[in-house]
This record gives sequence, C-alpha cells and structure tokens, in this order.
Amino acid sequence: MPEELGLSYTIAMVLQSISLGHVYGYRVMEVTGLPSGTVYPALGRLERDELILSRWEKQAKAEAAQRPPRKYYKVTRAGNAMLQVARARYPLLAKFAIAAEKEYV
Amino acid sequence: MNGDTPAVSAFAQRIVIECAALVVPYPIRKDWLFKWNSELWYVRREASASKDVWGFCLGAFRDARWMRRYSPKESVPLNLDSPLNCLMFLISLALSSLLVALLLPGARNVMLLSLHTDSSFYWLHSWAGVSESPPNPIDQQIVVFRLTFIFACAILPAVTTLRLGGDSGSSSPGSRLIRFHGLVFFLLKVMLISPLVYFAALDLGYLSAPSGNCFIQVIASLAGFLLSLRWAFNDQRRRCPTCLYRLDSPVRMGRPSWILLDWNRLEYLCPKGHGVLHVPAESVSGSFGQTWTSMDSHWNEMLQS
Repeated sequence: MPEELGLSYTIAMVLQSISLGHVYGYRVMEVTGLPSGTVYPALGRLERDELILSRWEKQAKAEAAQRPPRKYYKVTRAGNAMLQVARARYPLLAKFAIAAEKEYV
Repeated sequence: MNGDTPAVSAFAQRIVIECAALVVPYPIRKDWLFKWNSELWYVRREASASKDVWGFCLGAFRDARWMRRYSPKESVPLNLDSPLNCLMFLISLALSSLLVALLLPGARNVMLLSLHTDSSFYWLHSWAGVSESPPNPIDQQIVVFRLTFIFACAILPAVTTLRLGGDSGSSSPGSRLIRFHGLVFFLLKVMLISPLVYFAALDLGYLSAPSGNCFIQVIASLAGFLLSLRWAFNDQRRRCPTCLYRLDSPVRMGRPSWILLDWNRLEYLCPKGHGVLHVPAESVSGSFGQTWTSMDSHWNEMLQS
C-alpha cells in the first residue's frame, strides 16, 4: 500500500519521525539526516495526501519568546494507518525509530 | 551554534530564499516564504556550521520546484462575462498581434513604410471611405483586407443568424436605450476585431515567409473575419440586453419526444436577474426562435441576495 501511494522509504521515515514527536521541519532534518531539499517537499507531499496536518504556532507565544513562530506537524489518523503499513513494508523503519528515540527522547 | 554569522551572510541567505520563492506559485508564495524564513532563523541559531545553513538555504530551491510542480493549479478562467472584460480582452489581443507584427522585420518594415508615406492608419480611413486612391502597394494590401471583410460579411449569413438578441414579449420605456447600448457594444467589438484580424493576418503572412505571403494573408484575414464576426453575433445573442453580461445557468426544459405537447428549449438566466432567454431546441424556418423575458425588480433583488 505505501508503494501504491508512492510512499517511499524516505517519506515513510519523515512520517515516522513526526509520529515520534519531532514535529517541525528542522528537527525532522536532524533526526533523519536528510537535507532540507528532501524533507520539506516530503512534508508538503504528506500534507497534500492528508497523512499529516500542519498548524502555525500562535504569534503571541512566539513573540513573547522573541522568535518567529514555527510550523508544527501532526500525523493524522490516515497517516498513522499508513505508517503501520509502511512499518510492515520497511522493517528498517522500526530500527530507525528506536535510534531516534534513544538520541532525542 | 552559529550566532556569529556575519550580517552579510545572513542577508545573502535571505536573498537565496527570496530567489527560490520566485519559483513558487504566487498564491502560496507568501506563506512559503514565511515558513522558510522562520525555519532559517532556527537553523541559523542551531546549525553547527555555516555550510549547514547554506545547505539548508539551497534546499529551498528543491522545495520551491516541488511546490511549483504539485501545488493545485490556479485555474484562471477567461472571464468574458462582463462587457468591459470582453472589450479589454479584444484590446489585449489586438495589441498582442500588433506587438508580434512589430517584432517581425518584414511586417515592421511594412508598417514603417506606411508611416513614412503618410498613409498610416489608412485602414481606418478606408473604413470611413475618406481615403483617396492607394498611394503605394502597402495600401493596396489594406484594400485587399477591406475586400476580405466585405466578402466575409457577404457569406456570414451562411454560418450564423444575423440577429443580435431575442424578441422581447413586452416593450419597456427604456427598451430603445437598452437596444442602443447593445448595438454600441456590438459595434465596439467589430471595431476591435478589425485591427486584430489585420495584424494577425499580417503576422501569419510574414511568419510564413520573410518577404510576406499575400495568399496566406488573404486567407487568414477572410477566415479571421468570418470566425470573429460569427463569434461577435453569437456572443451578443448570449448576453443580457439590459446589463450586457453573459447569460449563464442554462437549464433544459421539456423533452425532445414531447415536442408537440410540451416546451423543448434551453433557458439562460441573467446573472444580475434582469431576465430569462428561451432558446428552442429545434429551430423553425422563418422564425428567429429565441425570446427574452424581462423580470421585474423583485427577481433582481432575490437573485442578487
């Protein structure tokens, strides 16, 4: 099914990292080790396919911390279902998840 | 940390992202730029090396290209509904064909020669019939162009009905003024069509051969006039006589098999609620067929609400 949707290993990895709580673009880059030119189009594609949702941080909160607002991503129900299928298809995703959790959580 | 990055470098990185933003479709460009500038701020704060920041910035081009390729296409409908839009469209087409003619050396020389021989806008004079005999071959070309217009007008009844609007059952006090408006609009369309066809035929003639191909010009101007005049009549008949907006919401009434017992026609509604146009599905010889029914102001208010 990931292949039917064209969900490559790279995109599955991005989806996996968001599901692990790395919810903004630069953190996904750090966790996956993928360049920005791969991660941001992947995020755009996942959002287009409604596998993730994005929301902007509240301006007031960001201003209080004297920084620009961030764009946060969240895996949808369809995204979670797709991730389960992707995990079955790509066993390495599970190893990636363990490594990422050890490093950042 | 990369907090000591020089201001010049920061400025250059912003410029790189701004350049990438040019690739992003305009409707989503502002949001895209905001996202990337926001992310850049964090990358600059958290990246360990300057090259990481530059790598991040260069990735913007790939994301921008993805956005360009996969973002939903903004459909820009050719909105000729309002009379003003319609006239502006014809003006832009005429100017475009003039521009192409100016870019073609042969066509440009023809126009410059006509300027030098004081015969500029001869084609306009020729319409009014105030011009004297053609002073040079260029003006002969314009005479040929005028003849093609006359010939197109002669064979136009074979391709369309020469009626401008539906018969109205009731005559209102302002109906003459309304008809006058419609006529002026129609004449403006025809006036804009003539330079458009002239320059388009000139373009085609000089595109096919650097020295100009007279045969192609004649054929192109004849076909251009015939098709554009047919369009002008058809377009006029599908417009509300009051506001000159194109009628929409076509609804089929009746059934073809019940033609003797029931209506079988298409009904078009004025978007501003001025009336309904009834177009019979089958035309009867000797009858124009389509009729216009005006609606009172109550309908107008209801449709606008």
